[in-house]
Amino acid sequence: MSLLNLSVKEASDKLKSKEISSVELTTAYIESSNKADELNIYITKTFDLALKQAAESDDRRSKGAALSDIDGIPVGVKDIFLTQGIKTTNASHFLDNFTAPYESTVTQNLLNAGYVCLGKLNMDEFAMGSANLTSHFGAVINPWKLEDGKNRVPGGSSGGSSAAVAARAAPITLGTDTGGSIRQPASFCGLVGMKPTYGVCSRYGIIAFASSLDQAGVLSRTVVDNAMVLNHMAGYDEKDSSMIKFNKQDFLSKIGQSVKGVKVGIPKEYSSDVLSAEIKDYWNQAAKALAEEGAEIIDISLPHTQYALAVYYMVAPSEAYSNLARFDGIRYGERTEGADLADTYKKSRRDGWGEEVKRRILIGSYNLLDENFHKYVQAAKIRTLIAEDFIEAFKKVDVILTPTTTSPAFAIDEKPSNPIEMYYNDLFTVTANLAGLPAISIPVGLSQSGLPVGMQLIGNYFKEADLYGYSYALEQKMPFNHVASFVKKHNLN
Amino acid sequence: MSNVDLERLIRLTNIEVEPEILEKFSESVKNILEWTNELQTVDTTNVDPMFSVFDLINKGLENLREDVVNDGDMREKILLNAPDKNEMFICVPKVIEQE
Repeated sequence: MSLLNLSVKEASDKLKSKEISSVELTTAYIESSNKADELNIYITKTFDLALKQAAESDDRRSKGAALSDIDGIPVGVKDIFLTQGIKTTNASHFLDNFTAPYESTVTQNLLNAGYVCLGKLNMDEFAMGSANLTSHFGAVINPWKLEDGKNRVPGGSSGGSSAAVAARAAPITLGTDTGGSIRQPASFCGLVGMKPTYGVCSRYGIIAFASSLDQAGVLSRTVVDNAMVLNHMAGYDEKDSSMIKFNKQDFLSKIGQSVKGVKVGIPKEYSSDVLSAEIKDYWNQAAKALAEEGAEIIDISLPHTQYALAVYYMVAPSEAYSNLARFDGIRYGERTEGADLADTYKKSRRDGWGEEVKRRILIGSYNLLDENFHKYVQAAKIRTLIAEDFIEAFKKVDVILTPTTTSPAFAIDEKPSNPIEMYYNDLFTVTANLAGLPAISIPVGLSQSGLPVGMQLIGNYFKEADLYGYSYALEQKMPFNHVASFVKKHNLN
Repeated sequence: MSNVDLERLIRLTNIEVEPEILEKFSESVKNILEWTNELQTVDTTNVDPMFSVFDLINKGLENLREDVVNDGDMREKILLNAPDKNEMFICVPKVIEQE
């Protein structure tokens, strides 16, 4: 059996029984990663470091001193996480030559657990995009290809993270999610993608996009793999003052638990006009599958859903406008010398960023103009109403089931020309970010054309363990046994 | 958007925005106006704005640590990323005009 076929759980068990070594596993992924160059997944490969870390892991294990259940597991890291001594670009020309001077808390936690870092993955520039088309290093190609031969988008902004797992260039990857940037690419690539409750993972060392929405998470092939890695990422960190102290659960603790009697809410507002018929059909199938296991399906209403996208595009660019003010080309980043200091700022910021980032900074600046500020506050008030809709709903149900996206992955040459249309990719995912709730996307099948379809489960605050339990139940009922065409073509299975 | 407003935005963003991006931006402002106008129709009487998840679940911020210096001593690492430096200083274009 190919090493690449192993789930993280299976690989972990085989490492433990010494059936395989971390060096063998890591070498297999390095070889497959090199085959995947055409997909443009990596910005920086750290294969020498990976082999060194793998050898150290094997050495620890031989002495009976393995650090955790993921000791020796190779992981791909979205290039938004600062990794000390390793180039961290945020997929931007601005940070082309930026070497992180310190380590993000999330990756430090994984280092403490003995993970192996395969490299830094491509993404939308500064995490702004839903199709991985805005990266300074070029688009990432979805490993799922149809007979039409067209290149499809892997979703975004964590598009390198989703393509890597789907192409078997990594067994598991890290992403970040501000409006759907883990769940939507997971859905487009047939993966499990989890965004935890805001405040579960430290944001220290993650380059900020919209601080009140950003959260780190995991993209994986299976639910169990996802929970295994999140277990080691999460935890209180005093370096992020916006973290919430909570009793950390074992995210694996509800795996295998029956969903009998679990109340599953179906929000009527997600039956949107733009939802494709076949995804709607999968939505019904997923509800039916859970009902067959004894879950109770309950129709609910989240009445302010229709305003979520507009609120998001008031809030996220405004926060980005503020966060991105620090990029001036002086202390770090690319500098374009101007006539004087002010001119140097302006030219550095012009040359450092691509179009989408500059557009969002302009939108943020516009939202925050004196005369528009009341509109910004109005959006923040509606954000309260959106969150309160969920709080009300969770008095009646344990979990909410929705589609993750309105349609499967689109072809790169079929991307919407209007940026606002592109934003509709986040229609079903932004609500969880606005409210700060945990949400996960699970692959449930293929579209008629043969592309992956994902369903989203949204849980109550800090109910990640339950969410993984429900997701596992759905995964068992609707197993996703398909692999991307790229994997078949290169015999990676 | 008028040219005056655009000039003002450019000044506030500190970006020498290329004309073609500015043109596209003016287009998207129209859509944003439609959206935000829709938001104005929602009744938010007695609703507090939510700027953070804490506002809603009344948690957090009690966790602020003591204000003590516990970081630093990484001058060399930080200087490594400076685009223009002289020994232990970051160089910037001249900001003082000569008489």
